Amino acid sequence: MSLAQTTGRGGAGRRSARPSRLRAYFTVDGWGLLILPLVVFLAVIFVVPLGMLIAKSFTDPTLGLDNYREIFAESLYLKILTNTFVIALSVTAVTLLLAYPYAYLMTIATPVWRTVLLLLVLVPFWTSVLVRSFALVLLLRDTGVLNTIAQDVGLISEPFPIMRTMKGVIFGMVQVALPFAVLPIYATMRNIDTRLTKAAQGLGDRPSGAFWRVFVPLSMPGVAAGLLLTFIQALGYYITPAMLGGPKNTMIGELIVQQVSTVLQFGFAAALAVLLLSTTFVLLAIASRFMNLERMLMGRS
Amino acid sequence: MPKNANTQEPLTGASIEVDRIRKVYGSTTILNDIDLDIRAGEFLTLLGASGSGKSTLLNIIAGFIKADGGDVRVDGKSITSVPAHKRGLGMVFQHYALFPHMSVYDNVAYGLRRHGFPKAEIPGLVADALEMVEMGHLGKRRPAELSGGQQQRVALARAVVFRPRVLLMDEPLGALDKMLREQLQLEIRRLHKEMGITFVFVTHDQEEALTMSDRIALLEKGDIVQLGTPEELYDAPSCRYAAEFIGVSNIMTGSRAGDVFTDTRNQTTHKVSGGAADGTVLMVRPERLRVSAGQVGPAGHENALPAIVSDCVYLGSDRTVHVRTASGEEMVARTEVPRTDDGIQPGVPVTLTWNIEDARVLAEEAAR
Amino acid sequence: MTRVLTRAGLILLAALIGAYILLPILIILPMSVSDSAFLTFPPKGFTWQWFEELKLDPTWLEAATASLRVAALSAILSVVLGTLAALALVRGRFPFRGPVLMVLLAPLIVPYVIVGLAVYIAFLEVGLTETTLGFVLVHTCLGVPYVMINVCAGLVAVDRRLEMASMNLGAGPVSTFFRITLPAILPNMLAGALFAFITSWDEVVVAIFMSGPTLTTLPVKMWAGIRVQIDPTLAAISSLALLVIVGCFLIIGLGRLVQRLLARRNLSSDSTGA
Repeated sequence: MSLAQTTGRGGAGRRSARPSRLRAYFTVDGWGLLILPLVVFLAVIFVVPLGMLIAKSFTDPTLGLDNYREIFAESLYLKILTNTFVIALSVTAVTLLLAYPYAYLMTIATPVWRTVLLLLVLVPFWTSVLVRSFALVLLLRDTGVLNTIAQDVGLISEPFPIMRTMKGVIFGMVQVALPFAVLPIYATMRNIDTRLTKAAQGLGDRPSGAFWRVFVPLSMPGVAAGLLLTFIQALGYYITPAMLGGPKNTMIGELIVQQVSTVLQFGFAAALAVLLLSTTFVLLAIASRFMNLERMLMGRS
Repeated sequence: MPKNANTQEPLTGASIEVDRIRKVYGSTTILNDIDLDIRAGEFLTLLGASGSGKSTLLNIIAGFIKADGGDVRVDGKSITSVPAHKRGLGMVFQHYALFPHMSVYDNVAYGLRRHGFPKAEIPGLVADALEMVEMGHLGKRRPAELSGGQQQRVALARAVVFRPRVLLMDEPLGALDKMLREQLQLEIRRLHKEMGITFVFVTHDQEEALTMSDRIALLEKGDIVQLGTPEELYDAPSCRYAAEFIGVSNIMTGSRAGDVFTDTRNQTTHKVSGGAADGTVLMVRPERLRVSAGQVGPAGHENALPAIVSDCVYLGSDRTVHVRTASGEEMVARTEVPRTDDGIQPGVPVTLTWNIEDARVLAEEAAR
Repeated sequence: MTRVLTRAGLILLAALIGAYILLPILIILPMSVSDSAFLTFPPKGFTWQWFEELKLDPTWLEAATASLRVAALSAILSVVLGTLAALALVRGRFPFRGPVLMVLLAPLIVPYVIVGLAVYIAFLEVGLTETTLGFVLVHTCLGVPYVMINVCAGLVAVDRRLEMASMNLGAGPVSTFFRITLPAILPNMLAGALFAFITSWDEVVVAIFMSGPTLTTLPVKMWAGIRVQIDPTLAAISSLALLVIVGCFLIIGLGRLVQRLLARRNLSSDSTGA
């Protein structure tokens, strides 16, 4: 027979709850130790260099805020910063316009087509930016594929200039940005209960009304996350704008490389990088309100 | 003493003492200072609903969960600080847990190899174990190529091949259909008799527990509410929960004064003997109830209850008569099918009667 | 009616996006065997000439082997570090989970221009620029998150009862890991390794900072070529680079397919048993 007894231990347990929770937070077990190699590795190879970069922006060539002052004093640099924002914003806008219906099609497609659509949108993510940009040059330049065909069929008489314009830059960058918008939007849409739109229709709303009044608002967290991720990515692009844009479309990434490779102004380049980095992290902090990093890591297949 | 009963056979099983085992997750008590003596060589079932703590207790014995307090001893020696892989207790897991990337043979040989059995002996031992569960011909297959029942047999062979003195089983038959389950129940009983080792079996299925066990420990919310033979649990449940969990029971609620139980809802009194002195529940098993047509009234018989038949179900040799008492409570009687029509059919007023010793006064909760 | 129109519109849009994504890549292949020195369209005649020219210039081969070496080594290093970290993330307890996770995933977010500049500044100090080791170290940073993501997903799906069964049968934790857990997550590790390989193989921005006369990777050499003059050998080398990636994805796809088929067989045998 069991001699189990009820005891009044609840009180004692509650009293010790707080310090033990703190201790629980700081406990490391055998498995947990395995995080160390990568943390140490990234600290040395990734975090320390970023720290040196930040330090350099305040010390090279002289101690102080000179580098930052220079960015905002020179109208050329200000123009490049504005350019960067304008291009990144345009890319984000176009990307979202394409990504939203695309993600919606993914949610209503059959599993096979959904996989096809998913793989398709991931192609830019896994093929070299360089090769893609090079291909776009072949496609878009004045003697390129599109202009040749358009001229041959008599659509245009003169080559239509796309290369070295903002149109060309956006055309190239949207491709690369698409996965960053489609994936979070799709992830949110997939979790929207389809019965909700049916319920709205049951309550007398037209299908389009139910879509705009129920589905679209519910998908907004995904749109917000996609918007921020796309914008963050677009700010830092280098290859695509450098290849497809003209001198007027220079972005901050290109400026950083120029400063290092042609005029060897490390401190100034570092200041530009810090500016870009801090913008990235502020935007990321905002984006993290719309997504759960840990869940994304564990839930993705 | 049961120990004496076992002395005729070669006794190779180990005894297990569970001593004040406690487990708490956050603010929920999973196991509340459990004491349990499992005798060497017996077939003991840990029975309970999900969340009763039965699987947790088994996993503590196996060494997969660390208890927050208490001790587990095998043959008197504490194993609390022994890691799972050195405890040498056999175990059959829920959903078999066969290694999918190994053949049936390699699955069974796994334990032998890890326990350092001589290489030359392994093929023979594996063959014997597979033969014992009638799987000798399927050694080359992968688990994925076997049916559920076959996987279960392999899991059994794998657990006993290295001759453990205790076999732990965590709902081993849960994923199988009824026919297969009943067949494997008999086979597991046969294995227990043949091997003579201690079996600790976890299930939520009371019929399975009654069929297979020497003794059953019924758990509820981290406490053992009753420990006893299947007969004891069925005939003399310790409390209302035990009565309702095992078999079908008719429950009348009220209060007891001496030898008289007053059913406060049906406004009847019944003579009782034995049972809980301050019990609030009177329980009669369906097969102990007699049903007679017409309302005799309680005056003629002390243990009688008037009711109206709501349904009769014929089960071949037996039938169940579902009735509704004056207070609207449903009860059920199980009787032989009479040779001649006794007039019992839906809508007919009847009287339920029973012998004094067949009704048991129970407390709402087990004494703790 | 509007429903049909909406669907048709959506499908048309998806088809256009598909063409927009795929056409530029597909156009590379005919261009690389086109008999025109100016990469005009449509391709005129067929020729292997541009591939032959690649063979004649040893610097292409040098760059390609350098890239392969860096990509292979950083894939291996990524698998080791990423798998260990995934084990800690899924199985372990350690403090500062949130901040640690941020650091682990940061290489996915921080623009490569910044990574390139920062690592260049740091590696100049210790003489690691233009070295295989330097490339491997920085490319591992960029590739390791993909290993982590893949292995985490695999680990979450591992049935813990298999490991318990192994321990119960007398295998210690280490033995259990190598005999039971590792085989189960091997496909995920392979996929992660290939993703890390592709990341390194394709990577050009950080590599531009790190490259020099002593060591140049293939993408950097292509980049330099494109900046000077667009010629058909670049189309040829692009085709080859794409083929490597397509090969990687075929391996990943095959692996997934095999895994899924095995899982389906497990499932079906379960249902016959139940």
